[in-house]
Order: sequence, then C-alpha cells, then structure tokens
Amino acid sequence: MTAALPDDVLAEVLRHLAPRWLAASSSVCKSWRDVVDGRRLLRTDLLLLSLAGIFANYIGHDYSELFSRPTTGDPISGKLDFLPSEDAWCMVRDHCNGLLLLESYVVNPATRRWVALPPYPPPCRITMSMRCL
Amino acid sequence: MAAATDDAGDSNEMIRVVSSDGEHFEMPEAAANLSLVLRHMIEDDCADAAGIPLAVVAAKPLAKIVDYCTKHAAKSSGLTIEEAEELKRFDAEFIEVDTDMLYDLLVAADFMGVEGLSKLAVQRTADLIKGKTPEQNRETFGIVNDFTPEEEEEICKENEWAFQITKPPSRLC
Repeated sequence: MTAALPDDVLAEVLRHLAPRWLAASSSVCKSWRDVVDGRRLLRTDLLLLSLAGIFANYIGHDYSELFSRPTTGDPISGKLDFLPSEDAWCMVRDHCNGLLLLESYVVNPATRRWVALPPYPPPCRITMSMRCL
Repeated sequence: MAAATDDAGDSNEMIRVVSSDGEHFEMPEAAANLSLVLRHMIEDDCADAAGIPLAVVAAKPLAKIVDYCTKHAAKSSGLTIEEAEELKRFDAEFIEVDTDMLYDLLVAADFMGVEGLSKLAVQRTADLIKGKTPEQNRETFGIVNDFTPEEEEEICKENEWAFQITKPPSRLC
C-alpha cells in the first residue's frame, strides 16, 4: 500500500485483531501505533497474559483444588505448602490478576511468594453486645 | 451488464457513475443503492445521463465495486442456501487482490458507504496482518519504519509478551 490509510479505516481494520496481533501492529510504524494508542484499542490492563490453571472451591471441601494442564515447563502447584501455617490447606477467598487471597495471606502460586495480611482489627464492641442480645 | 439488470429485479434503470480519471460505468439502480452515497444522490435526483462523479475513486477500483454491487444486488433477497454459498465463494474470490487494490477498495468502499464491501476488505486486511511480525507487515504493506532505534526498542520491550508464543527466528521488530 503506497499511501497511508485514513485513521478511521485503519482503526476499523486493527479492531478486528486479537490483542497479540494488535500489540505487534503497534510496532509497525508511528501512525499504526498512534491509532492503537489514541483509540485505546489495546487494553493491556484487561489482558490475561497466560492461564496456568484454575482454582476451584468445592462445597464440602476444606481447601481449594487446582486444575492445570500437564506442562513440560515449570508446573505450578496447587499445594501452598510453602506457607508457614495451616493456610496451606484453606479456601481461596478471592483472587485478582493471578494473586490469591487466603484467610491470612496473599499468595502468588506461580512465584510461590506470599505476604501476611495485617492483623484483624479488634471486634467492634457494639456488634458483640448486639450479638449477646 | 444486461443479464445483471434482469437479475436485479424491480429496478431496471441503469445508473451511470464516473471515476476520478473520467471513465464511465453503468450499474442497475438496485446495485447503486448498496452505496449509501449513490443512494442519496439518486434520491436527490442527481443521477442524470452525465453520470454521478466520484472524485476520489479511480476506474480500477470502481470497476471492482460496480461488479461487487451488481452481484450482491442481484442476489439480495430470498437467498437459498446454495445461493448464499455461491455469494460467499464470490466474495472470497473477489477479495483475493494485491495490497494496492485492497487499499483502494478499503478507501473507496468507506467513501461510497458500501457496508458489505467495507467489511469484506477490512476482514481481509486484518487477516493479512495477523500472525506476522512488524517487519513482515511493513514488507506486505510497503510501510517505512519511522521509529528511531530508541523508540523501537522501547515499544518492542513494551509489547514483548505479544511475541512470546510465535518467537520469530530473527529479531522481533
């Protein structure tokens, strides 16, 4: 193509690409990058970079199970036995961007790194007395 | 052209259009109506014997667009499964063009408001882009790399994840 496509037409073309090809397209030339960036076609914050497995909570189980495909690379273990306490065997409460929220820790099972949550605030007295009532 | 007119059904009137380089084309009114711009011109009684001038569409892409519209207008309603399949085959063959023609069709279809053709050309272009490294895309579309080496390094680093699966043999960008 000898001339540059009008921005609207180029944006329409690029909109048809999966995120990976969109990212590659933004490296082609400045006008392509400007359309990708200017129109926020590539939402890197929404991308799932890779999926190593899925944690599932079962009713009746005391801990979460990890389902993952057999891999030739470094496998990610669902066993959180590197944690210092009983939390290795507890339910995943919530998750965000590959991080797991447990009872007392935030854990990254892929890197096996973790941080302890700050201590819980003391229970509210009013609530306690309400409970007593 | 006469056969196409018969196929087009109700409207037997022929609409004349003139390319930017002065070539005249004719198509059935039903075919011209597939272009939003031409339809408005026809509704406004601008379609006369001299033809509707299309200032930004050259003869080569216009001939293709006339073909596309004539074929699609002739097969616009009550399609059987076989006819729909045939139209699909026509589209697939129609859009097998070089990148210069693809560029002309993208721009002309957008300008003339031919929705079906726009979609077809956009999809074809996207199909050509995907699966390629930036350098391959520059080659395909004749684009000059206008990044400075520093900019290129930065943007490649930023988008490194996009290449993690393909791993092209040479450098990424």
